[in-house]
Amino acid sequence: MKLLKVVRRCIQILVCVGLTLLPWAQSLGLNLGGSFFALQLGPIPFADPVAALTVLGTMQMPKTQILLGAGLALIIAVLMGRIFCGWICPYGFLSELIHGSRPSQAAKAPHSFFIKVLLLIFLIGLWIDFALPLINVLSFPGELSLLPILTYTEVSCGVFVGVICVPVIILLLERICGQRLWCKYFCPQSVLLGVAASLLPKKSWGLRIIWTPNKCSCRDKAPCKAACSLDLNPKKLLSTRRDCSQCGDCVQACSKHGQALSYSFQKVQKAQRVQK
Amino acid sequence: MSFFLPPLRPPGAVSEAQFLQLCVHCGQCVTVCPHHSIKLKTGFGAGRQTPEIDPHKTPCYLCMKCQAVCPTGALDARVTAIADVNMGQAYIHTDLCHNYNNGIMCMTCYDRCVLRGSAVILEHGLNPAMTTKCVGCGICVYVCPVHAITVVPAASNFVPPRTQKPKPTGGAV
Repeated sequence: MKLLKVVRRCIQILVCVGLTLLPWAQSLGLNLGGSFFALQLGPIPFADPVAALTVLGTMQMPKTQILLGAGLALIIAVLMGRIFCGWICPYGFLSELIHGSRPSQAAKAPHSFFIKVLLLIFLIGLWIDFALPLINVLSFPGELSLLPILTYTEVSCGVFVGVICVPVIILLLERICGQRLWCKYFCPQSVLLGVAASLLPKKSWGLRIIWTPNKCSCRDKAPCKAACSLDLNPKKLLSTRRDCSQCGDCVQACSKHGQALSYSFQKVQKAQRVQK
Repeated sequence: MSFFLPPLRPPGAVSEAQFLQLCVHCGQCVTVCPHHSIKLKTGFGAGRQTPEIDPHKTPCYLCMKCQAVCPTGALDARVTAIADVNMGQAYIHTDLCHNYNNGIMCMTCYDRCVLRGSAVILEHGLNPAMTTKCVGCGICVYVCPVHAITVVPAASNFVPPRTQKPKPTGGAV
């Protein structure tokens, strides 16, 4: 089951490499382009729901392309959970690498969805009322995915540093305190994706991490809980789907014990019955 | 570009206030541009990471590819004809232009203009003059050997001096 993490890391690296090559691919005439603010992959548009929300917040009616893209991203979040955060997001990738290299086990700290929502409302308010583009500076997946485009247009070194300085400072802070600060407390992107992820009813199909109690053999040690870099309790992931990035670290930790945790696409009760 | 002028937007851009609200800084217009004319604006103001064109470095060659890819409509895809583009207005500093001063028959701006004959006309058959048909692509700014031309972006309130109304007959393009 070590395979899971290897596959995920490969996908994360491939996403970074693909993003880096995107401007050059488009200059070859392929219908690919954009950044995580709005992405065009052939005929399929993707968009950051927060970017679409900021446009709608200014009472402008954008072209349907960005609304379709944002809608598609939200539908994926409903069906697959916040799979973007755990498998695609370049900042999440860096944050995980930093978290993995922390010196000692830091204390577990609970999530705060409330702070995220407040920050998102504050940032969108700043943009609508005062035209301060802080929301873009703090949209890390989008900002980092602009780096290849800036390289493509041969901007000066200073611009490059200006874009990466905020994520780098946050990464340093995460290294110091041993917590995935941004993903847990601040990330504006995770708010809408999280809300969408929590909307999936228990009786419908969708990607979930299912815990089967009678297979759980580790008693009170809970290696799954220790493995979760977002400090969630994987045994309650059905209720914390909003905060889970579907990274599967808990599934991997559990595979060495009772294999009580597993990915499942099926309806909740059916999946648990199959597990038994 | 002058520090005091608003940025020169790519062709098809909606009004500046609307543009700032619609643009999500995705960079698709930047990478689709085959001439590398469009860059993302630097700095931390409201226009951060929005597309702009610096005609002194690379002008817009009006290939009209960027409007089609804009996902939000900040660049209006309905603008497809070159004559409908309204990026700005070029004007000639007559105190610098060869033709107006030292009798050198330069004509480079006239020769290279995409809308030759309607956007740039020859006054008295001799001196190049910009008309209000100019779309502001900035090719003349780029080619002028004595830097005698400036483009005033559409968002600017500044009315360029000596801008002529086009002749009703138009001209050969």
